[in-house]
Amino acid sequence: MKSSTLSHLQMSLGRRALMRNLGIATAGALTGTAWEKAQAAGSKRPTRIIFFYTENGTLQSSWKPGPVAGKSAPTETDWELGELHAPILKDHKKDLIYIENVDLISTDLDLTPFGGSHQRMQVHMLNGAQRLKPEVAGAATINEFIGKQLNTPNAVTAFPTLEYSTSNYGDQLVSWSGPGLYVQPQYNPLVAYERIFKMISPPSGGAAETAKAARKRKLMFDTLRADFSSVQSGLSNQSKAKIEAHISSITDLESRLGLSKAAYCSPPPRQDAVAASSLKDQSARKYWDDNADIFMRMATMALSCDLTRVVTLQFGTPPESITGYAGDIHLGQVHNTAGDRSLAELRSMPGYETMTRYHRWYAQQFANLINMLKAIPEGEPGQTMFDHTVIYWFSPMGQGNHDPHQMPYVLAGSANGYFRTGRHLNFPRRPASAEEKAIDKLDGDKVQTPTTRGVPHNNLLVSLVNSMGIPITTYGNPKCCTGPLEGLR
Amino acid sequence: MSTTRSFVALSILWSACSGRVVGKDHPGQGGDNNGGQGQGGFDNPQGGQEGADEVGHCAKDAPAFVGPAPIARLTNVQYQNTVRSLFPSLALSTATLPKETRRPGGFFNQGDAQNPSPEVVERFHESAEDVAAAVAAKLPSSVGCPIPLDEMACGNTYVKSLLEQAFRRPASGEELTRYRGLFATARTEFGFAEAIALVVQTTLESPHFLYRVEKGENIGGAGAIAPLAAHELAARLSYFLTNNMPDLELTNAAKSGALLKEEELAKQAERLLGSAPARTVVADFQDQWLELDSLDNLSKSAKLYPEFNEALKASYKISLRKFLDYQTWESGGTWRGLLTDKTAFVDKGLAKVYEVNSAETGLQKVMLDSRRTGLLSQAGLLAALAHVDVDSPTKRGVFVLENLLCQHVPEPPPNTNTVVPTPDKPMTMRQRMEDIHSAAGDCKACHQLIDGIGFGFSNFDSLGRYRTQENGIPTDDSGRIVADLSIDGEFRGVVELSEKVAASREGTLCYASQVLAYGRSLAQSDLDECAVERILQTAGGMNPSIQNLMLAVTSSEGFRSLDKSKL
Repeated sequence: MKSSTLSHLQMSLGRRALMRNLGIATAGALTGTAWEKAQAAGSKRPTRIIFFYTENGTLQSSWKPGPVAGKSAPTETDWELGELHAPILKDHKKDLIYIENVDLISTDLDLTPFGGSHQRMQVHMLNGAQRLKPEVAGAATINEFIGKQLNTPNAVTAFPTLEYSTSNYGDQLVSWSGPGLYVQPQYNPLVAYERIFKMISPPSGGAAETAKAARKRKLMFDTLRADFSSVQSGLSNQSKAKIEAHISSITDLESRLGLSKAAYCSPPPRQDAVAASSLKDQSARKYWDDNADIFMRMATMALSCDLTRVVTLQFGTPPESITGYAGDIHLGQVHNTAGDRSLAELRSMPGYETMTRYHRWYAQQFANLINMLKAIPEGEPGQTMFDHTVIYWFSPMGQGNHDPHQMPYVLAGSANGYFRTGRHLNFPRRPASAEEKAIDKLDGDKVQTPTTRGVPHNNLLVSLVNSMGIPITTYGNPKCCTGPLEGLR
Repeated sequence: MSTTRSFVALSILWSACSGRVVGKDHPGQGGDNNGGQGQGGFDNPQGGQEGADEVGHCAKDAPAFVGPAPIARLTNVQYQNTVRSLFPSLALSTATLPKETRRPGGFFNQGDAQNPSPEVVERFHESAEDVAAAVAAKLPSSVGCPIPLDEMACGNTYVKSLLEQAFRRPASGEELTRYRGLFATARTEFGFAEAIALVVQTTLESPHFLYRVEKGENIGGAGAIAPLAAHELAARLSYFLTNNMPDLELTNAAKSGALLKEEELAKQAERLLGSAPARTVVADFQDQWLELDSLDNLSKSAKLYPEFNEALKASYKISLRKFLDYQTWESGGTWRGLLTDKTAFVDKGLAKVYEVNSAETGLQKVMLDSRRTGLLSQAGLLAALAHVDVDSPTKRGVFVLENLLCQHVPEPPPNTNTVVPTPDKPMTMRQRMEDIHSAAGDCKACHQLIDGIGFGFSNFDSLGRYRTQENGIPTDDSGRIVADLSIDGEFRGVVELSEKVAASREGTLCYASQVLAYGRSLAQSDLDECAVERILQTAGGMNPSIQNLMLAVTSSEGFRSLDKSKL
């Protein structure tokens, strides 16, 4: 475990304390996760995926990897972190993949009315599909899709997915379980805690109690299924779809409740969740740091005990106490620093330092999460849970000018060896097609999307789904999906 | 003027932004999927000023609006109220229900915006489990069976009465058999108490409990329009006016069929509107309509506003709610009154914001001076519609356009340069905005609409305090409405703006349409302009009280029926 990049919080804790904090049983030799100990020897370590959402894109030229000393340009294997992330992520460089020139081309092809521009892109981030309405997704997002696939036909994890928002910051339209079906993230750490805790509390009785509970569930769910089928007749298609989604959730619940409780799993201290949920002052740094910390610890615990294999973490726009900027950072500084600028020019912009603090706070959370995963031995000697995980860092736009092109994607972790990490992938740009430029005409040529396009992000979505062992070849709008993203493996 | 036309309350201003006629035939810029029909909005048909109290121009024989009826789940408030009513003898703790979401401009009860995701369903499961355990712990009194207990008889009777209440209608024979079978099997296997618990839990997770299921009467079966069944109508009425299941009197009116008569429906509606829960319903509506939840996340720059703290944040909301409640229930509750009532409620912290004297503790009613009037000059609203550091003509202008006039303002299109440069000399917010928005064509189109209204708020800072100077420069609160509305033209300050909006046809129709959307659990884009006009006619013209609007919704034909072709 590398200690140099641990946050102030973990810095003060020893390895055992950190493990305990993460909810990992510390008794005996530290040779594996709680989940692993509960499995038969030789079981394959499950692959996990974490969706890591941050707002407002990035500072493009500061984010981009640069050349190694003495070279003019970075290559796939010879590259250095850009100055935005270097101080925070340098120890993890071999575990990262920076991906340049992937565009949200699906937004260019989606001529559904705009609605909010942030929301429009948010809805596309994880599904690359035509919207149903201005701010309503037209298809499931891949985080929900993966969770569902992994737990079909029967539940294998207590939660198909977990969605956490580390700040109660209004709705960021990240997760959708189907057309029009928005999934609200949990923003209250205590509620999130209690939810997980129920699934790891050891059963009160023995096998007889467990069998009795299962029998009761069967009686109840059989009755409910009959009720649900009697509702269906005479409903509109839309209402029917909603009732079907409810039936699916009920069936899923029945299956999940039948799983044996992960009693070997011990959660982070409850008082930490209580403390974080009692913080009300959203302008305070402590609110942001502590909420991010407890949510990431709970996520790590849930993943290490195999309570879920899919976690989505959302990070809102941090306040003045973190960025040092007193005004409306979105209006005053995010937009200021956008545009096609050289690094030198960017550095001279008035918002540069503010936005560097802003984006580095995200990077710090990203590093903290990697450290938490790396703190958990799992698999072969020397391996950790991080080796069996991929973190996908994404944002709704490339940079602060609402431009959904040149997305600042970073992957961390190989997903059980599926991705080759420690690389920088820079895809070529090509002239935009007429179809991709049609969006510019929507408002009398006022919108000017770039004249070039990179590769569609739908391909990256396919690769991520594939990395979880789900063999699909296309996702979202098929017009902008040509299969898995090349070169990732 | 055609008699039926598409009505999109969120009429799109996009085309106006482009300098074309507002709200008409702008391909691809609809606010919603409405099958490519033209964007209606609230037009000002003849271009001239309407007679002050003349409602409309829809033909008298226009077909009644029935509209779609997507299946709607009980909102969290409705769920909690209903559970408490079902088990009045139990002190139930408030379960953690899923956080609710609503679409822009919509309400939590909007049927097509609720997702039964795994976590949502899990929450209802846990809540049902908790309630069931509480019922089982207080047997047999919690199920109302006499002692000595005849378990089978008790269970069978309880199943019938529980289902009838929980499903808001008598259970079908099949359902009785199913739930009695559940009870009997569970009793044999686990005993009486656990069987009752299982029945309660299952009932509370049933779609017939969680959703308002409406199928209408199958009379004749020929036409698409079917009357609601009496029990369906009772539930619609009750959830609208009390956010709760029908009470005994209403249930009896449904059982006897009397409720299907207009007079009885009106009588029941008036009775419920006069009951205490109606007050919380109106507050619930106002909270969502005015987006008062944004006050919960209010934050202000600590450097610039050291006087802002958690206590003031709480006061903003309490005071605003108190104003709305007072206006609704003690001061007539009219639409114009809402915008022009000179009352405010201040505590010690707010007294400084309003520059008035206050009592030492609690809220005190004060009369505002000539600088402020009505809703739009309430400090809480002004503070909510501002940035952390400066006031926001944009947020305030958009609020008036969207929430009060039902004109949807699009966000900047992708790749618009929305940079607001930091000024190199002292400027007012207005000057900064004028600098940018007048220069750049991209911004000007939309911002002349937004800012023209928003500049009228220039005398109020980010905390909602009155000012005549900003950064040492005199403020200018002259405004101009150029939205192709009947109230287009110049005005000065919030007082004149409020009077203009209050007297406008668009504002009045917008208000009525929100009440109708809330009352019907629909999106505004599902409504029809003539339906809104009729509501206003029934409610007595262009200065309706919210009580009359609510009654008018319940007496409209669409409230009593179902369009089977739309559903």
